[in-house]
Amino acid sequence: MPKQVIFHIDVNSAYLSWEAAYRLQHGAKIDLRNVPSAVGGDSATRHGIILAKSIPAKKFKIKTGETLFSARQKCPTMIIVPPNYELYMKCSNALLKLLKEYSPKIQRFSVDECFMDMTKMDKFWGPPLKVAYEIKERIKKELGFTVSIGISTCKLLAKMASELKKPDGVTTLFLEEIEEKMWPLPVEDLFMVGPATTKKLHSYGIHTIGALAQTDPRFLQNRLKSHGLLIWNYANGRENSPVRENVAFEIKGIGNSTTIAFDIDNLKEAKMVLLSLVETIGGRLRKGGWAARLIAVTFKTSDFRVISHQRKFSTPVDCTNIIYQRVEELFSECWNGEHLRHLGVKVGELCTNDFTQLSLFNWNQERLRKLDKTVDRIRKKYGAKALIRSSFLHSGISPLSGGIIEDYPLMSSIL
Amino acid sequence: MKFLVEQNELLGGLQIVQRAISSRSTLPILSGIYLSCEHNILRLRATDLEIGIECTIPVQSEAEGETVLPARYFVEIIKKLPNLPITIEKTDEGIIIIRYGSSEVQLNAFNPEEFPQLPQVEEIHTVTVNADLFINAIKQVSIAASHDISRPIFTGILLEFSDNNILKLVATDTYRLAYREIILPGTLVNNFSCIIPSRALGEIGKIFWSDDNQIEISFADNQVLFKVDSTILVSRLIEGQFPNYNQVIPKDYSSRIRVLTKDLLNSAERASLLARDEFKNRSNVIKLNISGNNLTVTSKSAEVGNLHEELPIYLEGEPAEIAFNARYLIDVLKVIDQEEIHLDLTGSLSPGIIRPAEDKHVLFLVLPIRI
Repeated sequence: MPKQVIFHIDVNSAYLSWEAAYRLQHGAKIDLRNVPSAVGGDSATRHGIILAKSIPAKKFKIKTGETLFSARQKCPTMIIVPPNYELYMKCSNALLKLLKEYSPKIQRFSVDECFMDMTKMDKFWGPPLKVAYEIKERIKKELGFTVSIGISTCKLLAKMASELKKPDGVTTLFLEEIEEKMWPLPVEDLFMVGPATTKKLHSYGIHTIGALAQTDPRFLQNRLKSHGLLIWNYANGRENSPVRENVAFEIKGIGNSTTIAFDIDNLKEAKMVLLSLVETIGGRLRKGGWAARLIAVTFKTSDFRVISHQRKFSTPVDCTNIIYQRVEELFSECWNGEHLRHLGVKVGELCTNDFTQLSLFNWNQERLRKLDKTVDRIRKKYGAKALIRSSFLHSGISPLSGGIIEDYPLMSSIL
Repeated sequence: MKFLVEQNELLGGLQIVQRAISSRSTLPILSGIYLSCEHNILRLRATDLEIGIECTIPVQSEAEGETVLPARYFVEIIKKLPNLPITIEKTDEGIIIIRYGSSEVQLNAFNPEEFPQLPQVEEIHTVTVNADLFINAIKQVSIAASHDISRPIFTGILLEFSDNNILKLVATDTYRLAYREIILPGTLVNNFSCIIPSRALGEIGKIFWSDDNQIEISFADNQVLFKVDSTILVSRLIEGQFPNYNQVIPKDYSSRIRVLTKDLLNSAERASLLARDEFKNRSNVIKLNISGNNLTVTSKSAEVGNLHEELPIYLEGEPAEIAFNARYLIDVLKVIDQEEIHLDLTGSLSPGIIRPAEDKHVLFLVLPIRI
């Protein structure tokens, strides 16, 4: 087998730089990347966390995942923009389209990361390093954001390489370079070494990737089972999974939740909030051409206990009313009258919705489908709130609520 | 309590009553089997409060008494003993000693007073059915019962007795429906119906052998009791109104296909392999295209591949095209023991009706998939 050439392309602070590029293209004066800024939930109400931050924001010790409230305390002038998942998907698709010009074999690893198989591509594009710079510059010029590109002979090392120079860098990490470039790094920087493993490795006196690589694999296997062997192989740059071409980039599920501006203590209001969450989810599902088999409800009580309940149904659905009916069922099964602070609905196990399993004793099925279609069309043409359910009038509850969070496949041990 | 019992007889009884024990029970005592010994009869009982099973076996009793033993250990120990007489004795402290040969096992027991009684079934109707017929009917009908506990009615099987001595069994999960009738000998006094959890009926086939001849069924307001010889099973009934199934069974058809059951089953099973993949396609859709004396089965999955098969059939009526969930088709074809079936269709959006070609007493509806 000839030696593989693998590129790993990683968008630098993806959510934030996509938002910044979008704003610049639409006439914004300041580049979000140059000032303390972050992407986070809507802070006009009392909720939200930091999803991504700019490099200047890092100087204020702001961390991904912390609440907007605490971030604001550290840096009162920080600009916080709401997430825009549709934009991210668009940017990700644009990136993929550009990369496809260079290689047909591309694996979208997450919304902001790709692997490219560039084996034998030097015939067309010249040496890997040269084409990597070309790709990086084209993305910067044509798409308006920066990426880091890692080059190696396997996916793992390519990924580790792109981490080495951020932002806007091209780095190689070939097997003969790992001792110099990867081994001095702290062990937690290695792919698949999480906080729990880090703690254990530290307790064995292993603090760097190099130390891990030189540990007796039997010792690691003894302590950490197969995972120990996996990270030992990774530390030594041994990994050989192929670049998997995704037929389509699959989202795993769609979630939507909202923190309510006041605590809810009655079923009627709770149901309305759930309905408003489902309205958004239903529309999003149909827009993507999906139907969901798994439905889950989550809520947080006023004393911050989180309760969730889910069920898998035998047929997938995309109909707002039916999803709501199931959500309502799940909710009433697990709610005991606690005061509610936060409500969420999630759907998963998606499949395409180009088929419908017909059913008996359910004469409305067809009519509901048409209704959904019509509602979607009106909302698309005249705006989301052009058509709302009258039950929300004068209720103080938004008829369509929550910021849709799409659950992209997370990076896993499967490279 | 002290008695002498044959290992195989005791094991037989334990394996029957054990079926009522639910692994999900939250009450510890319900993980036990109740034993009571009286006049050379040992009574065994277990329940999960939804169903209860009781049976008796002959023993030589030396002292009367009762106890509750943890099923997991008790049954496993008895299973591993040689087929010899066993003595079981309760000490004054309530500990159970199982003696075999010159060896013994001591087991800690539950307090028998805490064990629930089986509900008293104050019967309103009693009927007798042929065990073989009844168990077979359950097997066929239960495939259509739902497992979705949010709609309890559909997790049960409807038993409907009508004046011409016909017992009708119906189950549906709204995506398919199974119907079977049994002609009962003798006359019934009243017409009535009830919904029995399909799990309870499933156990019937496992605890009563089909050569058991007759099953006696007694119905009360909210309980039903099945009895063969000394074994009984009591179950609660599902409350509620079963939907009007007659209304949804099409009375006629525009195409009737006669096809070999095995042919269609094998083809559907192969097609199903290519009808789903890990990501995009979880639909399990297979398409049937009928024209002339040919049935074309196709399925495809973008990531895996596709299938195209041709089966010989007899078509009466118009050509047709329809898509089904392969699983639903396979479930039905598996419980039909006749060589040929009829598949009746009216357009691609009406239910398909499947019945054995030579049997008027069984019928399955499978709802199509719109594509």
